[in-house]
Amino acid sequence: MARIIGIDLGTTNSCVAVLEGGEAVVIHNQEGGRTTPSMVSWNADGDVVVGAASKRQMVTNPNRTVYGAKRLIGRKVADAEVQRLTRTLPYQVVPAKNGDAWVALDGQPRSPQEISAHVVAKMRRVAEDYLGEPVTEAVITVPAYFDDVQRQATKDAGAIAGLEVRSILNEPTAAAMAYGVQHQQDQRVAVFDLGGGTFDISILTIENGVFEVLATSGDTTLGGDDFDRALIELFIEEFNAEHDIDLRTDAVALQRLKEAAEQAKIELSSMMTTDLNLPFIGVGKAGPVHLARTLSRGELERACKDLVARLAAPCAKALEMARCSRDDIDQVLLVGGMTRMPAVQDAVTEIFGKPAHKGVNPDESVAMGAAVYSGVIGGELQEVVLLDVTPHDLGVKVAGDKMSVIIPANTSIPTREKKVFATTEDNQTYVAVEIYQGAAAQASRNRRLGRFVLGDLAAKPKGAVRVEVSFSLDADGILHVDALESGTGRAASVTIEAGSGLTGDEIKRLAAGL
Amino acid sequence: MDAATTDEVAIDRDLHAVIDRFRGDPRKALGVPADAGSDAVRAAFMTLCKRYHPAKFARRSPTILRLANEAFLLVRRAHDDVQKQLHTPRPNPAGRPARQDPAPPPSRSAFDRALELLRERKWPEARTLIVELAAAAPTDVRFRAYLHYVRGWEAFELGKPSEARAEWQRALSCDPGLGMAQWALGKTGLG
Repeated sequence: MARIIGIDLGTTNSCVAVLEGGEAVVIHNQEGGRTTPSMVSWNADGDVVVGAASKRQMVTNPNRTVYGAKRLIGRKVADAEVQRLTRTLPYQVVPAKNGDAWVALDGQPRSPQEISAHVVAKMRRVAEDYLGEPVTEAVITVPAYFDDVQRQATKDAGAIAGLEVRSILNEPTAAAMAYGVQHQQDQRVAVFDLGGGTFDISILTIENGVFEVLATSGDTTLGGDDFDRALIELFIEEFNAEHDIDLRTDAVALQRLKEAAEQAKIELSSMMTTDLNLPFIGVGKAGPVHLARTLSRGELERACKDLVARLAAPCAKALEMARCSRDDIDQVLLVGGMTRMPAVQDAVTEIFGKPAHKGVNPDESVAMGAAVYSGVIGGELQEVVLLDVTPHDLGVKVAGDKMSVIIPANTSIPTREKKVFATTEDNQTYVAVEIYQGAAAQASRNRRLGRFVLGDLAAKPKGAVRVEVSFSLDADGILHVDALESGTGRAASVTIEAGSGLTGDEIKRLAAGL
Repeated sequence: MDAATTDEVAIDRDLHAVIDRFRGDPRKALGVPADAGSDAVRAAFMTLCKRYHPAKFARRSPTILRLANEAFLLVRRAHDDVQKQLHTPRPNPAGRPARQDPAPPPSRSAFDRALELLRERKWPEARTLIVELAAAAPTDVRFRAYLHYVRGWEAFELGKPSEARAEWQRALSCDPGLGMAQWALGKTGLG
């Protein structure tokens, strides 16, 4: 049987690995890199360029180069986070028919799923070149804190790229698997994953080949991108104060600032100061203006102080939900490029009372873990199994905009819970239920997954018809709903409005065009 | 019939056998003796996980995958039920004297059913059953604790958080070891 590849589809960079002889191997891309920038450009002639080649065009072709599509995937334009994000994005974010955040390139709206699919397709080609055979199956990783819509949308991206996505695996879990198959003793680990766009913290036990996630927590709106943006804001403010020019309105300047900020941030992980030099960044009354300054590690840390401070709370919550203290943790694993920042490492030491394990490559362990998991699915690793959890409360909206929780966060998956709904009016032949995911007691403050309608009910007095609804979360954390009319045992029809915003036909059409 | 189809037929049969087995006595299904402790039950569950977790069937047809999911849900429920039996009645928290007058043990099945209803969040049904249990064992504070716990959720779902908090606190004053009341307080942010 052909091999299943493991893809870490990152916000900033992506990575692909396969299992060879029981070992996960990271595959070099055609340019020789072990990771590939998650960037896609559409050239004027319609060509699509992915990866390093796209990154090189970031400055010359800013309106048609998309980075960070993962931060938009499965989200609505109206989301506060998306609103905040678009302020410093050089490309234009537009609402799709259902309000999803899409990207307009030359006036042509494109879904983040389609954009991500180009990155996935690139990783697929990288694997095919290496393996010398066609690849049709993959495990794709997502932040543990991704909700149902974001997971489904990622699965769709895989489908557009022509892959059967055999599993959607949580990134911190993947990293723990990559570590755990190398260090087989029984232990309890915390995975601290600060990537380009999201922060996840997971607590797991590894016991005789069984990886069991005890709890997971995180922040989907905190990542390396925010650190870059903190720097960009700093530069923009300074520049505005000095020259009275607002660089926010200039797409090219924003792309250059983004590149320079990321570069400076990375350099300051190993050096105490770095130089920024952006000639001709703006044009003032007296002609072109340049941005040249020295940035110290201290300045970076001050600009990002609030972001670093947000790391502790999710860790405390995860420990509490796992019912353990920081002393019960045998190893802390660091994942994501942002964990190279000394201030982040210091925060980890403070939170867990011990320095992190050094032997994990923060850029590659997620893809390697995905490859390990492909072995769990494919049968090469029969003695390994994973029990993961759902990151969010799942519930329905009840009277007064209350969230009635059906499956609480950190429930081991797959799982199924049932709830009975009754008609509230005479001769009511359908019941509509709104499903939400999130921790807020007020339903509308959570992520709305969709609305399902139980139809074809018998016309009877109110309350006489009761429908038992099963909410199942599969092993990928994706929701399935089915319903039975109590008493008659007749299946009620359930319609869920398309979760990810793309229909099966749209996926097929996009896949054909890729 | 090609090899893959033969394979699927065999797997289909195996999964159906598991589903039938796990509809019966959970200990027998898990393959542990009646007096097995928590660790042995967990070990049996882990072995079954390695064989029947849905991920192990992810490349199979949608029908098989669905069946595997059903089988695994039953395996997990059996494990959870047995573990729950092993952990209730809860051991006395350290420092508290053993109960003086052990009430006649409640009908095991009724109590299990009540726990089941609590887990399914069927509050009115759970409350009715617990009231009966409490009436049968008036000296057992545990049932009063559970009763307050249920009322707390009912109040909470009616949008009365302060009443819910009071009920859960009452539950904890009856039985400070009632973790679920503590959990409810934390969960709803009322603690």
